[in-house]
Amino acid sequence: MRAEKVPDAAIQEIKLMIIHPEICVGCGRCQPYCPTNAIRYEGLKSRIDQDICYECSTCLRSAHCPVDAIAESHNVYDYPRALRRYFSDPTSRHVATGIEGRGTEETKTADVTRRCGPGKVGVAIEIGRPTLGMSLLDLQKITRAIARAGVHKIEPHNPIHSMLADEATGDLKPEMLGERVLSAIIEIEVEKDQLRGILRTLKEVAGEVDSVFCVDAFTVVGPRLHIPEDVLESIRAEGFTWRPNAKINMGLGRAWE
Amino acid sequence: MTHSLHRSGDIESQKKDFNWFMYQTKGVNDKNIKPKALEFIAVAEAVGSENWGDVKTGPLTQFSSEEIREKITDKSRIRGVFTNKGQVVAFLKRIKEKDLGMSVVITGVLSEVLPACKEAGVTPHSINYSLGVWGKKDRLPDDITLSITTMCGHHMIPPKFVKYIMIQVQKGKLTPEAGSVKLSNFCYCGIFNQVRCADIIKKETGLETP
Repeated sequence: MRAEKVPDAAIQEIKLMIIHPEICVGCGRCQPYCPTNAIRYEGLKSRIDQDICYECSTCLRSAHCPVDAIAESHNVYDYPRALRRYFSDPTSRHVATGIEGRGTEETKTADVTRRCGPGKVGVAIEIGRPTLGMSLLDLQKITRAIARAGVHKIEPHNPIHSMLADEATGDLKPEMLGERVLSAIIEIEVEKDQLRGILRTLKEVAGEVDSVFCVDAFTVVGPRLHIPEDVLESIRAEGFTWRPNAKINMGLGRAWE
Repeated sequence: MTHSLHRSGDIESQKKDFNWFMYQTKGVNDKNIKPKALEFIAVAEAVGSENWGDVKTGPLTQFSSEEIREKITDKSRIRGVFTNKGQVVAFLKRIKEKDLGMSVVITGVLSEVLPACKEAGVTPHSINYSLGVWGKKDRLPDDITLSITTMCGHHMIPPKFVKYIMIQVQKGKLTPEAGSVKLSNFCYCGIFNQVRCADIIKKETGLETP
């Protein structure tokens, strides 16, 4: 893997994740390694399409360029382009949360944090996954729809919270709307009786989004592994079904003495 | 919520696919985690975790156990793969006995994981359900490709690289196992199940033995 400093002249010409045209031998080996098909031939050399590159670094980590033509510019952390890296490269730490990745610890440490207790349901909307990626315009379509449905509280430690220009409308900061990322996760917490309304909203906005999104719902389990039937009924009533696989917090965590 | 939740594919195949996670909670129990992380890894290795890793270093399919252990910091995320319910039971039993105080998460098919919890004497705190994929699903790759790419929750695995590996296996240039390791190396967290992947490749390329 190479992350050496790129000559200034090269940065001015082709910024960010780059393939040095004077070094590239045009073997094309790097092209199938890009999750978003951003690496293509331009003439006899491979070139990264900067509009669709997510700055995920997969080409640097995995493609093993035989002549070390792939490099990262120091401009990759310039705002708002840097959002691509924070949301798309799992090895980078998001500046808004200090946590690697796009979301928060959410359900994974709920046994310690007591986040989303009885009477509540956690809902997450993962936009861009699986595999397609998305424009932040698509993210805004969903934050706006959620706001219109009356939910104005996106999890404050989630990086998306810091990207909102107006929590009441769900508008994102306008300067970031031209960016694309591999995925982003909206995390909200609703009362159980709000769950149906939010799921209905998500079904409605699905037709407007120019990508895909996954939905998940998180609930605390009662004594003797009692799964709240009212949560499951809300899911069924809105035409959703849950997949056979799930993520289960084993309840073994605690604050250390 | 979250990168292991939306794995897809044939249900019998998914029954051989579990992820284990150790989580520290920011601001609560996130200092000097390395001794506890090493205990988790020791238990996971003892019960046969086929792949595991730390996103700060990479997966076991690409880096040695020693290297990953050595580089553990308080920012590490330790997680891995099991391929049968017995491993989950043994893992949970031993981790519960050790009482390390870190959050533990298992992802897998509910009809396998919940009985495993009961057998291990563990009462889950909460369940995160996947409610499926919405939007422009017609743009997604085929189901077989997705069953492989979704094993990296950050979607670092390009669908066309899956096709490339399938072709290499069909041509006899790679074994299914070697191809699955190449795919696994995209997933820096170490939650890619290369054993399941090899089975999928064998089936898809007609190399499956009856």
